[in-house]
Amino acid sequence: MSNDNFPFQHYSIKTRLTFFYGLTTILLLIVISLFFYLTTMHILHHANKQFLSDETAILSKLLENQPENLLALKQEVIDNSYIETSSEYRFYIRMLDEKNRTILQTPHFGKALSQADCFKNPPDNNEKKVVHWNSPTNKFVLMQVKSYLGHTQKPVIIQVALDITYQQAVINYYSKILALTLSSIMLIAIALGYLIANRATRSLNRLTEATHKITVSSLHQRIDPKCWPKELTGLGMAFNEMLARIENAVTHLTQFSGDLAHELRTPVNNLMGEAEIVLSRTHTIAEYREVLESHLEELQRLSQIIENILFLARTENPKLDIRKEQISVLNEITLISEFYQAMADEKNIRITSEGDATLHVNTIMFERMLSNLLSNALKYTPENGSIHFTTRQLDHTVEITLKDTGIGIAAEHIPKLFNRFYRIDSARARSAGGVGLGLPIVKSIVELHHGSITITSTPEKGTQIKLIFPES
Amino acid sequence: MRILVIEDEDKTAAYLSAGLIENGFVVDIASNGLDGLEFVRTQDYDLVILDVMLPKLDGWGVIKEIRRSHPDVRVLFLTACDDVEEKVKGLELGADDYLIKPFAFSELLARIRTLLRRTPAKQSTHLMIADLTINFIEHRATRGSQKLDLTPKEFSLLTFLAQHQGEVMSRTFIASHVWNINFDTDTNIVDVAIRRLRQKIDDPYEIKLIHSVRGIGYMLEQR
Repeated sequence: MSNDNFPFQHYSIKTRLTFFYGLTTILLLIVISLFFYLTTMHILHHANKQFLSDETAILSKLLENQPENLLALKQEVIDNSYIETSSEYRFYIRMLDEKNRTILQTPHFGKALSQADCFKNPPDNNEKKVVHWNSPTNKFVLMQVKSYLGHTQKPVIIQVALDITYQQAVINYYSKILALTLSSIMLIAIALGYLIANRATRSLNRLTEATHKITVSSLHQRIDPKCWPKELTGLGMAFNEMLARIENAVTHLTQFSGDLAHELRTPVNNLMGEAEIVLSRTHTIAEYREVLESHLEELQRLSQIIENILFLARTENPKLDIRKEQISVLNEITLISEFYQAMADEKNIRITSEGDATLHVNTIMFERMLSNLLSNALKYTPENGSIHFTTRQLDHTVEITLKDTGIGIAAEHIPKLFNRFYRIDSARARSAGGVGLGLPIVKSIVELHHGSITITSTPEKGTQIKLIFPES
Repeated sequence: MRILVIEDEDKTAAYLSAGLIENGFVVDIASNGLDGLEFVRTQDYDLVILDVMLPKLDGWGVIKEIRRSHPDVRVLFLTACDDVEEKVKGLELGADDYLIKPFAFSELLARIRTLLRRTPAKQSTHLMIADLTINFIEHRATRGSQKLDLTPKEFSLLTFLAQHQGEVMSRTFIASHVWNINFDTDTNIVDVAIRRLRQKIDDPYEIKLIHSVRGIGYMLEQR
């Protein structure tokens, strides 16, 4: 069963497991790392913005409320920013009047920041916008706001720049570490995935190994499903069942060919022996004749065995298409009973029949089945006995029962009766003319018609054979 | 009566021919389909025995050609395959009868005789062999003046043997014609039936009419 839409079907389960495990781990790690990175960036950005807004707010307040207090302003602008803050977090402030003249500024402001584009133009409105700007050496975040000197309506532009070079360096450093860690973790994830997949598929490998070891001579071997993971127990059990079925079939087949060879060897041996003896010396015509006649009888037996074997082989072919006709069961029983009437009269056995039904079957096969059954019944029913057929039309089925007052069959033989060449007592059966194919043929005919056969028997009392056929 | 045997297996052809010659037929043998057709074209045959598996032109091809050129020649075909489809195919193509290998020679002989009895056997009202008289209309058989007490099947068996007097009838042929049993079965049933018939028509009398031919079957004749 191929599924061409599934792109991974050509890869081993191990590869697939490794791949998916690795992929999942890597994706999760990337998502988590990205989340933390972005969160950190967001927090920093927010902190920077907060700092700039706070600073501009303080300066605006100072300008508006205490325009004369230049000292405080100076302290805020020059001392706070430049001198007291650590070198990593320097910030710069500049104040411009409406004509872009510097009122106050942190030392070195101009050197570093006068090039910044956003400080060249006055702010559009009072929106507190954070702008990133990089000088050749440093990185900054900038903000400028418009304020008023006291209540004079004289505008002052406050510009604040925060040096985030160090901050950025730290972030870059962490990013690099993160990338490095991620890639090594990815490798570990793939390796781990491989190990896990390997472990998971080990049971499969064991199954493969066990399968490799099975040959016709070691069909009795089974795999112990207890040491298997739960998912594979079913497979293991099915596998064992399949082995049992194959073993059974192979045993049957071996037994069958052995029996067949044996069955053929005896007549062939007789033929050869007789011919050899009669040819080794001159004999009378009558003696030659005697050998030829004996040969003909033996050959007829052989031919009958071959015909029966061929019949069985043909009925076992699942593609066999048989011609079926509408028949009356009673008519067929009567036809076969008439044929056996002479034999029954010899032993003073009464053959009776009751009931009738219509069936859709292959006539010749159905007759052959009845003939084999009646022949057996006559063989094993002592003188003055009786054989009774009952035909009953049931719901959707037709039941035909054959009941005799014969010697019966011991229970241990019943299940083997349908095995080819099986004979309860080979000496007795041979003298009665059987080769042990009668009941196998009956069974194959019954099964070919989707019916069933059951045998029940009481030794010394008689045997009952029940045939059930689906209604046509 | 002239018979052509088209059979590629030498041994089979040889024994068929020997058996048929012994039974008074004139026999030719062709070992492949084309030779067989050539024989049919140049000679006048009453019957062709045709094997299905043949070199050069198989039995089907031969039978088609024979039916086209000689529609009144009887054709009996032999096959090693007891496939129903094959039988049907042979009969549809115009074969008059078929036999499945292995077959008893007596069976073949019986079928050949049936086929060659071009006009149906005269429906006489009675038949007499030695002092045995069989009256078909009254379903009555007598030996001398004594009426034989036969069951209907025994009467059919006797009639069948009497109608083929002098011919050996195989057990399967008897089973098929008397009981309509058309499959291989316990043929000693026929032996039992014959034995019972003999008890009635032969045992009490000086002249025995039913003779067994060991390994082949039975025949009825006055010896």
